[in-house]
Amino acid sequence: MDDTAQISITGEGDDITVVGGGTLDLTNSKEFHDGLKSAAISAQVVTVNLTTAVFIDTAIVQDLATAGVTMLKRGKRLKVIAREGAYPLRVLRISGFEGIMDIEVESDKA
Amino acid sequence: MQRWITSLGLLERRSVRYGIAVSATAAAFAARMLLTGLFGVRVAFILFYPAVMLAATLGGFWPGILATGLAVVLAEVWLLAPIGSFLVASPSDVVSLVVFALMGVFMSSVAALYHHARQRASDYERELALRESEQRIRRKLDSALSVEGGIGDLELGDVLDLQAIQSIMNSFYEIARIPMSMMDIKGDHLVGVGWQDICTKFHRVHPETCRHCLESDILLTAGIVPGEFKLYKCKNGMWDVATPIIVGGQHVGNLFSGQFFFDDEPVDYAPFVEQARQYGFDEEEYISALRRVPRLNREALNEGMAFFIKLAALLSKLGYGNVKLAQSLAQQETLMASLRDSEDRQRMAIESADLGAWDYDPITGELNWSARCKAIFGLPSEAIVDYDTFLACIRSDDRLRTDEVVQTALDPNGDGSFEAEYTAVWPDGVERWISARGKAYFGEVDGRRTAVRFTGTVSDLTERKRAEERERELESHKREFYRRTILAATEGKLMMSDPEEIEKIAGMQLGAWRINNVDDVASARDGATVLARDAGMDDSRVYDLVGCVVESAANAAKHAGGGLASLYRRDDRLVFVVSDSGPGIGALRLPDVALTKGYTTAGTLGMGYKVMISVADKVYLATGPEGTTVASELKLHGNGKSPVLPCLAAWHY
Repeated sequence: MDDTAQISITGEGDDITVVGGGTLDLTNSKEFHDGLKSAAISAQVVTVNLTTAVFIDTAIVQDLATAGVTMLKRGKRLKVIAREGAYPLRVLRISGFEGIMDIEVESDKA
Repeated sequence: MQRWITSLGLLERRSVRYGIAVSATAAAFAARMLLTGLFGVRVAFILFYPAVMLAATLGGFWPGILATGLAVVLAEVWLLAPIGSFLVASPSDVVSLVVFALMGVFMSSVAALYHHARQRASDYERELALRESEQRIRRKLDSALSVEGGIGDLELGDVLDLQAIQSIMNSFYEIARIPMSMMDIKGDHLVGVGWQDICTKFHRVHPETCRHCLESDILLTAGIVPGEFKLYKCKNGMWDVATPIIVGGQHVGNLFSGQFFFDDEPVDYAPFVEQARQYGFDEEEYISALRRVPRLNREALNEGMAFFIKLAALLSKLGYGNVKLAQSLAQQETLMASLRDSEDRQRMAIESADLGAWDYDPITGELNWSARCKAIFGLPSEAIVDYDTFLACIRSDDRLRTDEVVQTALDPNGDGSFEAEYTAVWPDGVERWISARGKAYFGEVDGRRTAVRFTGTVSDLTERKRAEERERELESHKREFYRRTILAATEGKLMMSDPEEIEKIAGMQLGAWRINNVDDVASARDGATVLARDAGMDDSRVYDLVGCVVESAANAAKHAGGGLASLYRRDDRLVFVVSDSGPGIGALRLPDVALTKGYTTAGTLGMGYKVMISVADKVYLATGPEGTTVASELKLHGNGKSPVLPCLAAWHY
């Protein structure tokens, strides 16, 4: 799996998907931070797809938590998709932020 | 009359006082009898009243009573009928007798009170005069005896032994028959010999001629140069000669000879006869005294004055020397008082600080310890100590080192400062911690700089040391409790440690990265990733390691301004260590920082340590004011985490 950070933002209007792949941390995730922030403020549906991410640090988790709280205040919920057994899912579970975002686990076989 | 009698001192005698009482009474009786004989006066006590009053006034209470008693007896026997008997026929005479007796007692009492009041007034005046005299002298002495003071207000009579000088003058006059005197600057003759009658009986008696003498002595002696003499004719017509006495640069008097004529000079009697008439002198006696005035040879006078000049110089030096000696003594006393005061203050300061004082003479080997110093070493106050005694009091393992410190202080090449801590052993074996401070002082001995004195203080630190030990022990227990609590709370994952322990568990270094800012975290992350894979770390564990790298390196960058990151390998483990020189994590904050989710002081998520503790096999944390070192240990293979709790490991069938 490619460790290089890959960030893309798809969708438009009220349905935005932020895709983060590879190694995402405080050194290379400005685009991720800005895209997620913008989506959380305005979109009706925001999905963060981390299935291609091999590593996220707590700075990324903080971005997710901030987006989750922002959307909760708007009556919405952030959805995060992570791959089973991957490091990003472990970090999400360690952080214990299931209450402020919906974490969907994608099976490894998929 | 009383004053006259008192001035003669007669009333001091008891016989005189009582004699007056008897005499006055007898005189009154005689006068009474005379009056009766001449004029037929019959009033018995009329003259006895003044007699009693006189006796009481002059003699006091008891003479007054004596006079009263005598008067009563005389009147009773010789004046009141029946004459010649102690009986009194007439009641009125009895009344008169009683009244007289009572009045006599009353008058004597009043006189006694008067005497008492006079005595008290006289005593008070004497005391006042004495006090004023003392104050005057004290002012003069204070002025002269001040360290900066010169002769001040002192007079010639204050600085010379007049009695001794008078004795010298008397002896000189016996030999040379040259009259001489020493007078102060006011013209008062302090000592003198050979006074002529013409002066003592005439010139110095009459106020006007006496004024002439004074004016001559003061005015005509002004401005004489020290070491020279001035010959002048006094205003009364006689020759005088004077040489000055200078003390401390001040003209304080003159050595004087006078009241003579020269043997080659005819004496003109006419002015003296005129003087006698003018001032009422007995002319015959005055001229007779004039004829007795010595006629001196000029050469003899010059030689005599040579002696006078030397004597004046000697007196000047003596007077000055006395003043300076007194000033020096006063200064010495001031210094001694100041020294005593300083010593007292020093002693009190040392005593109040519970210090023992020591004083060592390196040259003689004499060692003096204060009583407190001996007590600090467990010795009695009467113990005799020397340097060997001191060394013997020190525990053997401290002895050599302490002696070396002493020798260093005594080294003439050093500054003499001394400071040491050692353990003393008392005679009963008790050990005490001692702190000693002092200083060596140096002087020249045989041309070489040598320590001549070594002095200082000691204090017993035992209680303080024991308290410090107890505190260290308590601190150690607290740290250990802290460490074990955190270890237990993290299920053995977070170990509070120290940099030395972390260095021991690290192993062989594989790579190192300087973390100056957040951007350097990526280098460490990528570098550690490559090295971990090269070491054969499971892929799943690589990201656990990356998590520890990123979180710990980012912490150093964000909270401590940067640090040094290194990756080590020890056996089947990789250890990633980050060290910084930041402020460290305070003990009270550490549980929150390490364990509380979301605790942050930098606006971050506050999850870094939680992630590291979760993904690493063990995290070692050493933190303090000098900085923080965190080491994350991960096995190359597997997660190092047993599914079975250690406490349950023995539970199996």
